[in-house]
Amino acid sequence: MKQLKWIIPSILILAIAAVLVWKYVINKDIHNVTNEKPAYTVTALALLKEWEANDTASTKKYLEKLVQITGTVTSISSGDSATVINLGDSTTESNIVCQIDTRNNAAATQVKLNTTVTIKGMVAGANSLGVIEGINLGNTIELKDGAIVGTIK
Amino acid sequence: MIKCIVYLLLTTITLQVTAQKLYTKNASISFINKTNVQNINALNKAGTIVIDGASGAIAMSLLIKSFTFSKALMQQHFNDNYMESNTYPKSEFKGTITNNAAINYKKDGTYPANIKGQLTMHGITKEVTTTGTITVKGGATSATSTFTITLDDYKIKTDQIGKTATITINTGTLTAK
Repeated sequence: MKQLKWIIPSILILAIAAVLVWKYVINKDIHNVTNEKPAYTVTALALLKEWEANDTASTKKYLEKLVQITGTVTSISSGDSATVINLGDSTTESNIVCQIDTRNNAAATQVKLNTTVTIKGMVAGANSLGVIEGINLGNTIELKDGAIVGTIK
Repeated sequence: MIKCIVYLLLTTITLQVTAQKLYTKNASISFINKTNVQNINALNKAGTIVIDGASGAIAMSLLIKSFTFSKALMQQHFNDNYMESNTYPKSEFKGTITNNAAINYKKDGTYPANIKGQLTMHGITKEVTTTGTITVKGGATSATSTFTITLDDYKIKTDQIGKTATITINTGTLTAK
């Protein structure tokens, strides 16, 4: 009987703990990459060329890895939510599209067109677009949950 | 002289046709699925969309892994359990604006668009018919469309999530090429 009086509180405590753990797991935010060390550091052009030369090997190497890329800003789109920064080069139709994490938007909105920036983000893959409706769009290497590296002057 | 005029006319026509091809690599695509526990809100702002103003042809291509989430577990379930993005990394749409003749891409205005085409997702291709809006303002063209899909049609498991998803597409300003 003495042991029995501990059973109900123990079950209750375990149940509360389970609910708290479950709540924590389902509500855990996406990791902010700002202070995280990148797995690879490359230039935009080098990454585009490497991917174009071997799609399978590049996918295996970079997919879902944090990659830091330096390149020229060819367009910026902001608007209602995350800022998107495109890095590219006049020598290729291919480019890098990085969706910035909304928590890092403040720095991203300072980025200017045609300047060199360094960004990092999780690689979501490469979309080999090629020619669509008569327009050559090349490849798009896509990054997400991104952040600007360093300070924008 | 006549040859010159014909050549000039042909060049002008070609230039006009070329100028009517519009594209973006930064289209925004939202995916909303209502569940009993938490709604799945996914946003992908790296979609590619091409509209051929001359023929009304429309094409879209996006990577499933480029959908962004605020919650880590939701992202994992979306990719691993539902969209199976390692096996089916892309979603594509190929179709036409069936009332394209009624849209003047060179004149400011808000034009309703009827869109019909094939949507490929999770390795399954199905016909989709929807409506959208094409806006021309000060030489800048953009397009939007919202439609609902039944996830069963694409063989996406719905045992723990809602049966349908609302897809909203916003091209932002399209670039002429």
